[in-house]
Amino acid sequence: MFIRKFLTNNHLLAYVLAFAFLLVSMLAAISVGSVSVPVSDIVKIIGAHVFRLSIAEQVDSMDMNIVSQIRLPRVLLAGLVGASLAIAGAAFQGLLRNPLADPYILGVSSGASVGAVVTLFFNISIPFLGLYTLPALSIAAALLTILFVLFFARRVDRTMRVETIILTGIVFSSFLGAFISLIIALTGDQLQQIMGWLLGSVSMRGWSHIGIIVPFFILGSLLLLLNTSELNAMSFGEERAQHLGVDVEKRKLVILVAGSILTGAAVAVSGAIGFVGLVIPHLTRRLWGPDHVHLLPLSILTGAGFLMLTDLVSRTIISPRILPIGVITALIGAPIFALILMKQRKS
Amino acid sequence: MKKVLSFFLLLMLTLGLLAGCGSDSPESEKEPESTDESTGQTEAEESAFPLTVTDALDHDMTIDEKPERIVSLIPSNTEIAFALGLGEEIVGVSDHDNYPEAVEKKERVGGLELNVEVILSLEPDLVLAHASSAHNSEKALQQIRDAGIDVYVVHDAQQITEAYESVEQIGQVTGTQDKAEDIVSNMKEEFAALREKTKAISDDERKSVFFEVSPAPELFTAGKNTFFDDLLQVINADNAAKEQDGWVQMDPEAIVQLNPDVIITTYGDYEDDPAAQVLKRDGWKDMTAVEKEQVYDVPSDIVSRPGPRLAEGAKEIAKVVYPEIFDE
Repeated sequence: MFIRKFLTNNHLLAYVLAFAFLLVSMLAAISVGSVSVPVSDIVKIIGAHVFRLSIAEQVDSMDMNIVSQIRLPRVLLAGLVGASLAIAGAAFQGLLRNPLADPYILGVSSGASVGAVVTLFFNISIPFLGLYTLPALSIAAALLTILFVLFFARRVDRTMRVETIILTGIVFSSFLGAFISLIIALTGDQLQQIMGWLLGSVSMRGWSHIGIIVPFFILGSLLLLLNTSELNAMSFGEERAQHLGVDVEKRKLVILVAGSILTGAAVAVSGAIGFVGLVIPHLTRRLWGPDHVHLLPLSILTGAGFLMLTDLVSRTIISPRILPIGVITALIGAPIFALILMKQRKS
Repeated sequence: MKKVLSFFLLLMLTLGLLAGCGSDSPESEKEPESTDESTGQTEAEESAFPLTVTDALDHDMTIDEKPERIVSLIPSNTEIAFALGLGEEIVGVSDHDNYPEAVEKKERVGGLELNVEVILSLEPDLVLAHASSAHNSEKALQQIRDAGIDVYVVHDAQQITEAYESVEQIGQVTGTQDKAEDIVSNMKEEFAALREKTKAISDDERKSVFFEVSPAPELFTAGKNTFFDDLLQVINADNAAKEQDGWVQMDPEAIVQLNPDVIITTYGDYEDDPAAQVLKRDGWKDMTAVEKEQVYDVPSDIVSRPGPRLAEGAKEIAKVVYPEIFDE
């Protein structure tokens, strides 16, 4: 009786599997690399940190350093970026009722990229911010972009219909994209830095960048998770949602801004990593259904696990060399997505 | 954002262009013929023309007389030409040129994208191209050839010995062969002196060096078959990344594991205080180079351009790697 109830409880199973996926990805990502650390050691290290025990005698100090100072932060950052992009994508797809919507569709990522590329090109360094200049300017540019997009969308069409928003976003995206191309054409020495940044990477950010993205991740995710039932209502169309008692305009604004905060912060710390925000929500929806109450948290878990895994592949497949993570997300993600799509069609 | 990949290609080409490190260099290793220095140079040079030569991309051409207006499409060609005493003859240089100072007064003819119109308007009789970027600008070069101008593609040197050949090639086509021989024998002497000085370093004292040619987070380094590797061999030091071939992006974890004795950055001309950046990196503090603060910046131009300044570059590297031998 209990077992049957458990099995029919689709959502519990979904969460268990998503959590398991995240956990396995994380352990694998921490364990495998130029130095291999057995999972038991990871548990020991984490246990030691939590219970303040000494572990010095068990683990070599350089390995320990590599894992705790270089690998752990990059794994966690990959997870946070993946989670941010995935939940933002899920929210945008629901809100804009467009399966092709992704966190980048509103030009937010282009805005963040312009902020970063300009920082690199002019070698800007704001005295108080130091190394945080780039993420700070990039988040600022992202927020500025979404404000501009919303402002223009409203000027064009007072009710801010979904089509208007998408169109405005695309216009801004193209414009900002051209601006980035212009800087690339003009740059000399910084070309490699700019390119590396545009291809996306979670390498060498360290704990500081986790500190940058965490508050935005929490804020953005909370805002979205508080609006899941409104997202459900709006996915039937804005008029229906209005009839169901949803303050459509206000909610739309909240969701757009929250999604942009998440995207802007993710792009600011890791560059433009494509694909995750588009495909992870789709995948999650295909597997567990379109109810945003569950879709959003499940996207967080799946997105985080997925990006940890792709980062693992990017730094181990031709170790000790590194491949750009954005290349791997698409190379791994697209076939998986195609496979699931085909399976779904058959059944 | 979708154009990113094609830009990545461009990036690779720039790397090749800036460092002179493409992939198709001819394998010929001929020794320079010794020339009799007592004969009147001018006469010897005059009589060398018309000269029929084949360049690195197998284009045959006949250069009718000693070129008087030369356009150089890559910094290393320019440096060699100036060293050959062709400062007056050079009328155009690439956007990347910065040495010697006199290039500031020369017309700029483009960088990755050549401005053919400017080149033609300079009415050169010889254009010195380079194999590392020639395939990228083949159409532009063909347009120049079609205008009846000789385009000589200098081969893409990866080793010091090949850099000698670059000097000799340019010397030959510009009728300054004797001067080229002088430069090459000078370089040889300087390298020999460096070898001599570092010869006594025992295997225990031999230091491993990691080259960082781009700043964090994308750490590119120079593996084997690069000038960096070659220069390290000259001064009897190890390249920490010798397992790699060419220019590669390295996993920071792996660099920590390589644990080099010295880290040399080459991007100090556009990044503030690279050494300080390296020293405070998370998780790097146990590396020998970081612990002993053996992190230095060497100007990339003198260690990556196949030209007369390579020996100077080797000396700069030697000074920071073995200060006890070179500090006097």
